[in-house]
Amino acid sequence: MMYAVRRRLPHSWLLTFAMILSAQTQGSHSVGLVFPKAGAPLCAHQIEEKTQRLPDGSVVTQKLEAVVCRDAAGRMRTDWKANTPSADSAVRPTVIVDPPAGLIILLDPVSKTAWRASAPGSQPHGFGLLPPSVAGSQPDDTWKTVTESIGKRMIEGVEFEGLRITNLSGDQPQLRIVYEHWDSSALGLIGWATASGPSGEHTAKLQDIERRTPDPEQFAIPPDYTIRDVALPN
Amino acid sequence: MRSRPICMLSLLWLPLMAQAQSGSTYYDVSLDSDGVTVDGVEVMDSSMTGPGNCDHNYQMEFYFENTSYDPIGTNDQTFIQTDPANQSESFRIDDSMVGNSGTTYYVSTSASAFCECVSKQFVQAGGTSVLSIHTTYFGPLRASSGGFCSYSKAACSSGTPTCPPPHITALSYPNCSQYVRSVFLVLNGTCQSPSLDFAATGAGACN
Repeated sequence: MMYAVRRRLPHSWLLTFAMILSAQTQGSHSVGLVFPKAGAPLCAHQIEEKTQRLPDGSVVTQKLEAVVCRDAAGRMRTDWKANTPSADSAVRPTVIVDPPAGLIILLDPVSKTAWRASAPGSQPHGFGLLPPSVAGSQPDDTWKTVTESIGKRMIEGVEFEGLRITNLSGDQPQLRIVYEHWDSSALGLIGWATASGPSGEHTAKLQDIERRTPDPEQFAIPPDYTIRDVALPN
Repeated sequence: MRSRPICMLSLLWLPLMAQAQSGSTYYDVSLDSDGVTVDGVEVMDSSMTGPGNCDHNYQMEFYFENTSYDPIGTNDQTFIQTDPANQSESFRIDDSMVGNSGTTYYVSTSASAFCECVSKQFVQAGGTSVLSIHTTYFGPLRASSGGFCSYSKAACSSGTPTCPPPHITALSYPNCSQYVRSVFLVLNGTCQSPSLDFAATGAGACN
């Protein structure tokens, strides 16, 4: 005897989930300091600290750590350290970037899903990193921007070149948001970057930079992950 | 309804009972001028030998924020009751849905074979993961050094950028463009770095 029935999973939880995630999206981003550059294999620790000044005067400090490895082909993998309180409480995926294949892969440990994204039809001109930022870091057109070179500096035995961008409020000159980053074009790294403003500070830096070739297996999708292909817009 | 007396009786059959399930899902997601299209296939096989009841439950749902809730594909759920049970079932669900570009979409799946009396097993293929694709234009160029291009502001002719922080990109041609179009993957609410970047001639629509 066979019965055919149709039932629906209640999807109200999906709606709730959607609203929570939508709220988290604002201002939440994953900081990157290493570009997927070929010819300079290495592994390094990325240390991120965020200090937020709340309206009631209290200060909240959070720390996030990751291990970033890059091979000679420019393939890159970022693993966020477990058990580290995230700045936004989100579970961060492992990110694999494969420039030769034109792919970005996100390994979501919660659903064991590998989101594999490519840009078919046209190759990207480059890869972009999101540096540290603070609330209100998108000043409007009334703000004045000053850009200046701040010289060279050794970090972890590597020479970096500094750049500072200062945004000054047109209405309240005492209000300023300052970004600094120290980059090495030879190694495709940002050794140290920070953003500071009235609402707090956000700093990210590289430590323990090791010039070594990582295990090639690190750049493969684990066999127990379900692959979902995502085609990015051209 | 499931028959409890049969369950009790079936305890005597334990050595003869066996069950197995396996399942898999595959999704293909694409974004073009028509919107976000999700095509999904869910396949599951299960078998049970011996007395008991099997409730095979196969569901696949696509949901797009602020748009609609997709009907489940065909053959989504079947309850099978036989006495004794010697059954093997295989299901395949093919489904697709088109949503709007810039919206968040959700994929929720479950494929299970729930058999009583032998033991209770729940095999789930897939899970819930939330991914969306967003574009932010940045510019004008604030500074460049050593092949790096720095942009401190989003440049949106319309829309609100989901990933609005300042941006640093390494472009593969000698000169930095005045504007850049950055395509981000946003997973579970977090904008992922790095993005895929394209040179742009001006501001554009952000989402």
